[in-house]
Amino acid sequence: MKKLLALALTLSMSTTAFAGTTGSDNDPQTIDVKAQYSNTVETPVVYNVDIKWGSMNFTYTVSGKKIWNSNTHQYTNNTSDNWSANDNVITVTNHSNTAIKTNFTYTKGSSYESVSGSFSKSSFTLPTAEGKTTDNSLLTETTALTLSGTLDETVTNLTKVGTVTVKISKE
Amino acid sequence: MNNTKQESGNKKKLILILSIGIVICIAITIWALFFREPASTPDYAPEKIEPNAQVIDTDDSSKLEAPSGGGAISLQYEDQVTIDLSDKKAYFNYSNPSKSTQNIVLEIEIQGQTIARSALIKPGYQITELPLLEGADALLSEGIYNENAAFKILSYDPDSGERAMVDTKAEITVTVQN
Repeated sequence: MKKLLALALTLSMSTTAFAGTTGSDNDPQTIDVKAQYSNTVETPVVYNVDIKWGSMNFTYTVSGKKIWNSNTHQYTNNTSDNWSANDNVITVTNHSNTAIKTNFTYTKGSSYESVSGSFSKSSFTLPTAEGKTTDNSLLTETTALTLSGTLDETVTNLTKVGTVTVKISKE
Repeated sequence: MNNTKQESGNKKKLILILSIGIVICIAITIWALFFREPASTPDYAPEKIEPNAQVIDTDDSSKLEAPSGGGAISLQYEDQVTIDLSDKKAYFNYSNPSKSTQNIVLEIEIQGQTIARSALIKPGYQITELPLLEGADALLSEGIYNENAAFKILSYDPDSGERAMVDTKAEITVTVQN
């Protein structure tokens, strides 16, 4: 009797060992896996700008006639003056990953205070190159320098009379 | 009696000479402070090549087409500059890409004062640091200069060395630290 009871208890323990917590042994286990996107990529602004300029050679021409008045011993000025330019264009192209603003100023040379300069466009904005091809026309703009005033008659060779400054800033 | 008169005369002469000397010194000081023209950037390129310039790796760009008699530059830079007063240097990123047709001199300007200037930088070279000009550190204090701070780029013909008619200024933000 005791042996039968011991055998029965042993068999019940074996069965218990195979018992699971959720019931049937054939149910699959699912564990949720979670993820999230984290962007720590830095995108520094890189300025890359091409600037081209022409020869910036100008000629100040005085033409007409000075008519001698023998009564007054003086000339009557029947002359006119004008400035002509040879290749006076400045071209700016933006290859930066940000829009830029471009300003143009003319600074007179120290010995040429009588000569002034102005631009067809004193400033313009160029859009970012991001998302555009390298030859996109929107990324390029031009301006032309014009001189005014007078130049002394002793300046008969091409002489530097001033400087153009192209200023680039963020838009 | 005669000795006394002579001594008195000598003293008067000495006082006169010293007075004239003082007036001359004051005149020179006033001229130096108010009338002397500041040193200007030369119209011809410096002969010295910038020792801090390094070759730009992987720059195989072809030259920009420059109009005859004119010029073309390409500038590449980041607009953040750091100045360390303890070692009197400016740290930044600036490149003169190969496609430029001009040599350049790079200046850092703050509130109209040039505080650093490079020697000649040829196309295909970049630079990341420059020593401050002598005395420039005394003009700066710790903080951020984001107005009236700029790179000034002076262009020079590589053959004649003559300075171009076009200068470029690029706005930057300068952080000064100790």
